[in-house]
Amino acid sequence: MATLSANRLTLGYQRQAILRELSLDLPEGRISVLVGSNGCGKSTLLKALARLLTPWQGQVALDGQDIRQRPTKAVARTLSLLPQHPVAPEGISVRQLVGLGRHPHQSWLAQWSEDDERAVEQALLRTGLDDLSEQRVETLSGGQRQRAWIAMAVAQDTPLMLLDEPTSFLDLTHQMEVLELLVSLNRDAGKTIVMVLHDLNLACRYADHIVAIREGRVHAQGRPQAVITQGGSKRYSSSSVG
Amino acid sequence: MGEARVLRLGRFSRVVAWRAWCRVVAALLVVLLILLASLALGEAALSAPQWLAALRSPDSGAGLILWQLRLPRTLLGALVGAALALSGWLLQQVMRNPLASPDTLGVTAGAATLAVGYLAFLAADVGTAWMPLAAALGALLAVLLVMLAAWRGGTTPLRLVLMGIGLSTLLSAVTTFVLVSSPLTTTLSAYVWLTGSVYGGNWSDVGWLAACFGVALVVLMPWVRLALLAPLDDGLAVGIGVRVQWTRTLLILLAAGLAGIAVAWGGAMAFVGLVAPHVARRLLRQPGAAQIAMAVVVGAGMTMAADLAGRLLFPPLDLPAGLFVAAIGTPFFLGLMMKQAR
Amino acid sequence: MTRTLVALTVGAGLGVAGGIMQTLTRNPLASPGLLGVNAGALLVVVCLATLGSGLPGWLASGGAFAGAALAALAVWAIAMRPAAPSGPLRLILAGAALSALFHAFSQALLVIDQQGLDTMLFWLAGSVAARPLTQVWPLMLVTLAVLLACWFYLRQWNVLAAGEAVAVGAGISVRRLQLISVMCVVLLAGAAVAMAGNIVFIGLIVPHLARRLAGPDHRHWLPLAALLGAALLLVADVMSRTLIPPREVPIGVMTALLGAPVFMALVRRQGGRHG
Repeated sequence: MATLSANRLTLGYQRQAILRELSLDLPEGRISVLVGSNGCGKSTLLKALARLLTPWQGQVALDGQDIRQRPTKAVARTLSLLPQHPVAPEGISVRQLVGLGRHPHQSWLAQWSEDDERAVEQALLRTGLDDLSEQRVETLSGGQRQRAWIAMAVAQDTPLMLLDEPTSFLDLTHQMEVLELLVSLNRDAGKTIVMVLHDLNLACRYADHIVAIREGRVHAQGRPQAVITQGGSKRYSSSSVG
Repeated sequence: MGEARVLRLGRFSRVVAWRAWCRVVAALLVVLLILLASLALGEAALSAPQWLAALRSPDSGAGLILWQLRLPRTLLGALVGAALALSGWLLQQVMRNPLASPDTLGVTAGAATLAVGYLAFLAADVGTAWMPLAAALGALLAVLLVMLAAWRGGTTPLRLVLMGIGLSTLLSAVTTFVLVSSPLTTTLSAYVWLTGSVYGGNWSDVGWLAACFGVALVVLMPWVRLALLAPLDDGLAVGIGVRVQWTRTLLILLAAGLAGIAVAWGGAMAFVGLVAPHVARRLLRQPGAAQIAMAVVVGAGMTMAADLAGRLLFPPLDLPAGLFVAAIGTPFFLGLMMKQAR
Repeated sequence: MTRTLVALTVGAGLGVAGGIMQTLTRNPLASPGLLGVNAGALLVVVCLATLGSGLPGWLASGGAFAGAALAALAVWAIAMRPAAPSGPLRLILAGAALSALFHAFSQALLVIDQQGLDTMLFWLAGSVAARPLTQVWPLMLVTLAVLLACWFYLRQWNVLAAGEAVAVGAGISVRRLQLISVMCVVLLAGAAVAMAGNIVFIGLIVPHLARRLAGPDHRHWLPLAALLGAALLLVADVMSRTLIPPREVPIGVMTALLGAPVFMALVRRQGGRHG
């Protein structure tokens, strides 16, 4: 398994710090959800955890080791990432998109092994896309497309999955469908899931562990009920929706 | 995947899009036909038997035309086109935009500035033999400058393109200045170069260009997979373990090198780099290694055809191939944009 | 004297044309030079020169307008696409490719017709060098007339800058305004090319300077852009004469030398945000 933690993390854009000395341990095998108002730094934190951003100070540790010290391909075998608005290359089919997730397992010699094929098949089945696998990604509906992206992360076959607002731009039914899928991945496959959600109700419903970020620091964390009744509700119920 | 087969041998495995490769082979055959036509046609047209005879006796008059004039010139055109097409394909992939070309990164402008400067200031003393080197150097310097200017803890396609355009404009102004202030004969030969021509290509040119192109291909081989992933946004690419900045820098330098050598020998006919990848994508929709090969084949065919047209259309004149590339390229490109605009 | 007048009108015309294009395409990098309008005008002039060597002045001017219109049409088609996925990059790339193609075509024509070469270099390099006033005064009048006409649309452009939907809501017929704006650009840029050849970067940088100095209100910055453009081109002209004393650096080269670094600095400062 894999553990992910942030250790006195400080970083930002241009000269303005977004995260300030933030430390966080993410529980293994659970669904953790980062919540907070717009601009509080939750997306920045997720990007830093996924090594997309270089911290000014502090570090992100994967299995206790600085994530930036490890080869990025090795990290990609432990940790997969779904950014907020991913764009698929033109003309690519669902199966090919999902196949891209196999990149960290491939080498110049072995570009399409039997493992690759099996992983893609399973990812397609899991996400219910096996019937749509030959379709082009552009032709899919919003919900299907989001499932295709998740399938790509699943095919990557990592114990850890990071997702940045996987439900944005989806209607409520499809939001729940995507989240149910993630829950099943957590329960059946034992994956550790870390995601950013802006909808506090959904976060409470699906999270095992909620991390409330406020002004670049961890404001509160723990089980949903505990965090929400801690007085956070006053702040978040008004600012987090929308 | 109906159109692809998986090939496995021990640890070695590949997906082979065989139907796509069939089309590449078909295109290659067409290009070979152009090559044959280019050998047979010209100011002294040869009939089939004459042609065969000339082919067998390189020392006869017709044989000399064939072996020493037409063949090297045609091959040079093919190589120039192939290199430009490959460069364009790579850049369009890396810039995530089908409108990128070797021009956009200042490659052509850089090569032009140094080449014209060489013609104006050095050619009289040292001859024109070193001009390809000057051009290639200019191309590489320009790209390095663009990368440096666009680097701020990494580059983004947008910044690269904008810097490229800025530098291109600056460099073409310098080129124009050199042209304006130099004697008319220099200006003329400079213009022929700027338009792009493979006139007077000889075997040593072909040898050099082929060697450079071969080296570039070998360097590219291990990176094809990453070039195909380049259109993914940075977040996704990092997520699946691609070293984004490193890959981008390497591919751009490779593309610049390819365009640089092509422009060095063929002059500034960089539109092949813009148009050939489009044609290739139209012929093969699926991105993949076959598409790269297709772009290369199309590029080679295009320049050969343009060179042939330059020789044939207005008989006493031997017009630079670049003219026809531009003549076909402009309407094609306008049409493409109008279509996308809808 | 004529020379100064030409520099002033061309500079003002280009500054305003660039400003209008930036408002119209809502793209801070739009300008006649970058989007191929100059190159289009140039191509037609070169074409005409190749066809007949003794070219009357009015025909060259008309050609410049036609070419500018052609290029503007192409650019418009791209810019007005409802939901351009890659925004500013797409437009700029299309413009760059377009002007490169036009330039290549012009160059190719020059190779065929070598007599026209020397005069054509004048167009390519851009110059405000002395030409009889009789040849340029109609173009100056056109520029002035269009500049005055622009005065009436300043408020409407303000609204358009806030977005098409807002403009429709405010009761402006957006299509008509766009058409008028494009016509203004074509006339201004066409006249500028016909008078002084290919002058780059003025149309790009002047509106930025004007906006920085006068704020986002078109009523303030667009007139300022006209003044700045005129002043800047005049300065460039003086510099082009005094830089290497016996010789004269063509003014188009001069503006490129001055403008390109400014442009690149501009990109470096804000370009990252779009990326």
